[in-house]
Amino acid sequence: MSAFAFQLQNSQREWEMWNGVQFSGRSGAKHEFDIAIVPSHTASTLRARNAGGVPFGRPVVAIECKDVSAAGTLDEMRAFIARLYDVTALDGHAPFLTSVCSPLTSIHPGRLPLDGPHRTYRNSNIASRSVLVRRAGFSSGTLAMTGYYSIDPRGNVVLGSSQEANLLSDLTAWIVKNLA
Amino acid sequence: MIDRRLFPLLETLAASRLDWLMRDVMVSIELGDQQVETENALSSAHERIRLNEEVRSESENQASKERSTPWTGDEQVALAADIVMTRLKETLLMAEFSIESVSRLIGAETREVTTPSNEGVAVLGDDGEVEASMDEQAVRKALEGMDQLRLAIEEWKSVTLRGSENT
Repeated sequence: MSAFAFQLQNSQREWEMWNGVQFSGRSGAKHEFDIAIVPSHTASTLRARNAGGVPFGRPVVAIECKDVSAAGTLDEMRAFIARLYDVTALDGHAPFLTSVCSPLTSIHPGRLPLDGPHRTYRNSNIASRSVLVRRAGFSSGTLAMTGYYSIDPRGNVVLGSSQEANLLSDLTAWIVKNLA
Repeated sequence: MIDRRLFPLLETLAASRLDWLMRDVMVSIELGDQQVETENALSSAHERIRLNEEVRSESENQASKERSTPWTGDEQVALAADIVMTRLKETLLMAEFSIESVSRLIGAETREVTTPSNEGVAVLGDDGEVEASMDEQAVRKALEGMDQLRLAIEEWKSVTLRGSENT
């Protein structure tokens, strides 16, 4: 696991980018995201605890990386969406997740109102950025789920490619716009 | 079904502790020649994300099961050779780039070295265990050996495919 902290210019908000960290979902199951961005207060709160801990909830950026030669399958896309679904805590889930945190935050340890839960999955999907990055492409039919669930599919991303440059450029633009 | 002529190559990869590469070859062969989404389809998907469009797919072409064609034995041999060469070279280039990037990020030239360091990268397997670790020197040496490896792989491919012509 590795992490580095960042803060955008002229912004009060601090963030951490994590590599290979597990998040706990509503079901209690743990899900690992290859790259995740979380508020730095989530990270520092966990580090301050003697036993550390597993964050609960959805990172503001979640990136799944598939460094394999075969094209991505529908099942691979389904698995990513299912993980995001489990880690998404909405307003309406609050009465059922009091053992996790009360009041409920979209990420825990979190701070209200910054990390308030969203009302709908659409709100949560739009407020965050979920990316499935692949070295190879996606098999036909796989993109059917991406539009509805706001999954950004990035295929043929290899070192030095235009796809790599576009991914980094688009991600950076989103971070600058949304994490300031 | 994996062509048995690939077994020596797969065994060599396993013996070289390149299990991840062996798995990559096997999965690619087992999935067959997959029909893939076009660059246009991907670009449209990116645009929908950029515009925050929640779109329900109405495409007639979406399939509940992906379409693929099994590779023939000879195609498997060619594919395996290509995957091994491509992936090894890519991994080394990425390792070289990663080491340089991390060095730049931590300001390697200006920081005080208090303990011996061995700047490098580790390749983790699916189980999270370190499958290989490489330092800058090892990466450069490996890249220099790629031409020799390429010749060996081409030779194997050629002999294997010739062997099938003679049967």
